[in-house]
Amino acid sequence: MNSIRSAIMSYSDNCGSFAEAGSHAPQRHYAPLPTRHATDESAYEESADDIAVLPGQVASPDVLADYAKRSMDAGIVSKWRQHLFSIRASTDVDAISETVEYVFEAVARAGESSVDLRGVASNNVNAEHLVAVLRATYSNRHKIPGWEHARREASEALRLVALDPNEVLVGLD
Amino acid sequence: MTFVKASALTFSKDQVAVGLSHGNFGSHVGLAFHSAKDGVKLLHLRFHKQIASEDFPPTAPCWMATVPEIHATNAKALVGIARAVAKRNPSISFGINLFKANGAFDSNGHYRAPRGSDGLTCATFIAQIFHAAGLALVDIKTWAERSDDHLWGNAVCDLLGKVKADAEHIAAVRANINGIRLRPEEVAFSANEPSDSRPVRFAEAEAGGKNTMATLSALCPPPAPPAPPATVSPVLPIVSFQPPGPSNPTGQL
Repeated sequence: MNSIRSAIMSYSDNCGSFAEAGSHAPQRHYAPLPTRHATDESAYEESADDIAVLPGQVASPDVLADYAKRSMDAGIVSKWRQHLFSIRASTDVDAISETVEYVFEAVARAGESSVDLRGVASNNVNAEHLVAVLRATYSNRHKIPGWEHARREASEALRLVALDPNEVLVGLD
Repeated sequence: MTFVKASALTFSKDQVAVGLSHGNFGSHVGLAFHSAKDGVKLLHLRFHKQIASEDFPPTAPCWMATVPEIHATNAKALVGIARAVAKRNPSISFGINLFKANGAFDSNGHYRAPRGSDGLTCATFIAQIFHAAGLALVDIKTWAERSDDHLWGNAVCDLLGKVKADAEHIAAVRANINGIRLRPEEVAFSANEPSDSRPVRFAEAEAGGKNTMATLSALCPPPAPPAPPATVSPVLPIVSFQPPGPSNPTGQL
């Protein structure tokens, strides 16, 4: 709930900044939005993406809720990168478990394509977290972008930290 | 690693253990791991839609356990997956179709019955967690029919009826009775094998499973069978058919 609240607050802040910036910017003319009432559910046929909110106008509850949800989802969906792309990240079982959980959360919220491994390179990842990501996604590896590429990079990444890829990557062929 | 009584087993946070106890269908298997905050847990599928994550070692009945030989990096990932599965507390039907069960855990940590699957047993539940991590314990495609396990299939259907499972589910399970079963002791045996011997094939697992049961009986004497009630089905002499409940609090199948 706090994250929803903070997302809404940040949204309001952005609206304020925009309004202030507008006072120094060349005057623009926006077509007025159709008059709607927040309680009139039948009026909201477009998706929230289609509805512009201009300075001085109050966004509908749907727009705010959608924005808050997408902000929260975007944060959660990208968390699996947190330890993976941190070479010095802790590799204790709790940190590894976090990576597994974040991968599962990302897939649950945004599908397999949200765990995009095409940017993995042996010298920019934490080898043990990469193994955790590969194993957590093994059952649907064919749907994970760059899974095979990441599996190949894992060999060198493991060598760089003096782990034997033949032992560690067993079963991932 | 060898099997020891669960009460004597120690293992670190970045390891898992596989436990075996006596159960109403002969034996029962579970996976032990250190949770993030709640101590050591034993995750197992008691029976139809009854996942348990309880303190390890359990106070009763007697369990034995072993720590599988798994590279530390992989064991940590497996602990992460076990924690995620336990957190999601999946509702899993008890089903016996071994071959269709493969791929039961999705890459979001949730259980999703694969097409044609009627559910999992306690043994396939553990096997599928390892399989999901790319650390298969057994080579399922080598599994073969055993006449005893036709009887087991019928006993499962009887017990599903006693716990009031859907008639449709029971019919689906009955249609899958084919005598092909991954036994709990075969999962435990495979977990105890050296990592380069896995996945274990049927012939080795069957022979090893028998030895594993002998070890279990030595470490944990089998409970005396309860006096048979009048309604007991005669199909399996060692089976008491008590559904989990007040009269069978451990409810292990």
